[in-house]
Amino acid sequence: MYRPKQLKENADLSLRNIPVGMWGWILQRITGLLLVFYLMLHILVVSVAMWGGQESFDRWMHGLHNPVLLTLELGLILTVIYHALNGLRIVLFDLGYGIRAQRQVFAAVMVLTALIFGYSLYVIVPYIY
Amino acid sequence: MQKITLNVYRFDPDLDQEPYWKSYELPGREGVTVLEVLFEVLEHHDGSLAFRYSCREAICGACAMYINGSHRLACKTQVSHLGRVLWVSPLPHMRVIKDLVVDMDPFFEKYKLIKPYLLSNSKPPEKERYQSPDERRYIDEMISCILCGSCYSSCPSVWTGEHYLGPAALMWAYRFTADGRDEGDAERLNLTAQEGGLWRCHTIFNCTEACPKNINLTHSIQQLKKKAAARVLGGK
Ligand code: HEM
Repeated sequence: MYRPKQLKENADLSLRNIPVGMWGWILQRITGLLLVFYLMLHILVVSVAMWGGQESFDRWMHGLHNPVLLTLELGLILTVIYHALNGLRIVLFDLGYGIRAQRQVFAAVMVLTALIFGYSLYVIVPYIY
Repeated sequence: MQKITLNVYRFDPDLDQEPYWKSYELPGREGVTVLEVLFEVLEHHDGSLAFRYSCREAICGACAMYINGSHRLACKTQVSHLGRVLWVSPLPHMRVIKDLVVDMDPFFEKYKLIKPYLLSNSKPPEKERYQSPDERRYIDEMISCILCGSCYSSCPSVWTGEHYLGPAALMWAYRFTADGRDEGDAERLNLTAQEGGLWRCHTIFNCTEACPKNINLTHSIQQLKKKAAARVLGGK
């Protein structure tokens, strides 16, 4: 319908003009896709590890237990927390609650995400290092 | 008052290879609106600048544009609220016909698709079709829509889905559904709860943020989604 060149010229792509609700959605999609990617990787790794029986599985698990991967796992935790909480925010709207306070609800999601992630760090960081 | 710098999006598909920004230095004045600034250019600098306007009092919806990072009606936007530098471009993501004039046909075609008029099979009553003050108050917000296209232009689902009805059409579908005098609920649900309809809305709220009349379109779309879901699940 529109030509790509016009889209580029006519659309405002500057980040500071993106409203709160759109950030919520962009992050929901990015974290959703990350979760799909992680889930496939997870299933693949565990399946491969189990091919060689219990001994192979233990060896794989031992190999995965290194600071780099565990640090990446912190990223996974953040991804899950945000996606789940913002998902609940959207479910809340679908049920008819909070639509007229969407900015505040999004702020609450961000604060809760930070709190839960902070607690996760508190528990997990001493365990990793 | 100090001078105003107007940066305006120019594009004439017949003459220009690419759109470009053109700057004008204009005299400022107490209480001047963006629309008046555009007239200043038209009258004293460049008669070829194209833009739409009609009522000049935020009721016709013709002069919706993208001004300093937001969807706004040029006629009711005070320059003094935006500072000395203006950036004025046509409604984003819509086909530009010339300068600030965009192709509104897809928008109005989709609006017509949801039958934005009274649907009723019953015999007209003796006097008027009665509506209580409370019922009327409930649709007050929605009927302040002036069909300016700001919501439509702001919606990511519209940008990426050529056949998506868009916020305004869905809001109007709910406006009639919410009206006790109208009997077209089932028909409008058939039109909106399908491919290209309600379920393309991802609750992003860009429409609500963009609306110059402060209508919460997301609320209307959600109410209609609820009705569609209730129908499938056997509710009312
Ligand atoms: C706590 C559990 C979860 C909740 C409450 C949740 C909720 C949601 C919600 C409400 C959406 C928004 C849909 C929309 O934009 O209209 C969404 C999007 C998405 N979710 Fe989840 N989700 C959860 C877990 C997952 C998991 C485990 C995966 C991956 C395996 C996933 C993948 C996705 C993807 C790819 C999207 C993007 C779809 C889109 O943007 O349209 N989600 N999720």
